[in-house]
Amino acid sequence: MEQPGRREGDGGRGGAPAEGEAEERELIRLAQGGDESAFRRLVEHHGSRAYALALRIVRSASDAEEVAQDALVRAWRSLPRFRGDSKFSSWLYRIVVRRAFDRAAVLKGRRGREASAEGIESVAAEGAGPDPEARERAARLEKLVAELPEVPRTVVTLYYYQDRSVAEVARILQMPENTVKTHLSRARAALRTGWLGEDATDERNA
Amino acid sequence: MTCRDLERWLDDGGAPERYVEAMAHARICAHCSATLRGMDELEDLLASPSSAAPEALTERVMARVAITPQAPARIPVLELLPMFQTAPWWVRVALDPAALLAIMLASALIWRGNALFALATAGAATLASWLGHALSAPLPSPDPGAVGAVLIHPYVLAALAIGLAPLVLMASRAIYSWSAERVSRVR
Repeated sequence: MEQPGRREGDGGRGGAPAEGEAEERELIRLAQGGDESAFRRLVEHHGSRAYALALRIVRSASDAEEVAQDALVRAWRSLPRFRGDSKFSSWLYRIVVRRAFDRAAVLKGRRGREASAEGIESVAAEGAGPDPEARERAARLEKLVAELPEVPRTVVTLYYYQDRSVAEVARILQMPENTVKTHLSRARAALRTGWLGEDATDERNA
Repeated sequence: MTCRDLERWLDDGGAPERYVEAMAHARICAHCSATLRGMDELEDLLASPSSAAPEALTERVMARVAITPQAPARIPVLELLPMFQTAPWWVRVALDPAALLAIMLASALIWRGNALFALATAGAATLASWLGHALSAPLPSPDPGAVGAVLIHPYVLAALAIGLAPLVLMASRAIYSWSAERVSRVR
């Protein structure tokens, strides 16, 4: 049987090598002084994850890009006021989440849930590479994640994909840690039921 | 551990202290063994990149960054003055406006406590009499030819003062931001 991997409680998540942290601190210091090339490196490092987080919340590739762009530009503007009390990535994700929630609220009135869920499934399938089985699994997962309500979906994305600890997720979403744990637990139960239920159906059909 | 316990353990994040117990149950339960494999696969997929950002994202962000000025860092008021920018930290702390005001008040109280108290009493009495006069004065009769008389009426002056106060505050904030930005550029 496998050794416990991610299933190890919440300790030790969101860690980064000390070398990388020192380099990032230096890039932040330079960018705070107006150095655009230092900020470019920060964008290269965090842009993709900021986009993925926005995509999970707004569920539309074009809107997610706009949200990610807005959040990164806002981060640049506010960077001189970033005091380093939290990780840069946590600070950035907080901006992304806030803007993505705002955009999602606007979009909710404009379009139906189903159409947007299909959109993100195809984006996820493309991101999974050329293997048809991997693409199919990625699309299935995205469909399940898209069926979660907005906040648990964001919690799952921050916890698993962005590799944040429960405490960091709580700080980013500005909610108590116990609320994050409850969202995570319910989301896991829903995903597990959906994933294993579909797997069981596949096995029966095979 | 039962099958239901194992599912609950998984949903709660799989605490390490019950790991051995969960594995022992999975060894004798084909259903839970499949559940564990499924959850491993699910969590691996959740942690893997679900979608790549558009290739031009960085370029588009940097194009916008090039025309976006950074907000000024928050600087204490006294640091706006060049002579205080190079002063040691303890001098800057000592000269912080709040500290300065507190020192001045404390000194005045010690040096001329009675005079300060008399001044405060006289000021409060003047303000009270002015307000009493303003509130008890009759409203001017509408006379289109006497605009000046209406403008200097205490009611009108009080209303103007209340209306202008937020504008004065906003203007002073704008001047502060502008000067702070100039200072941060010079630095």
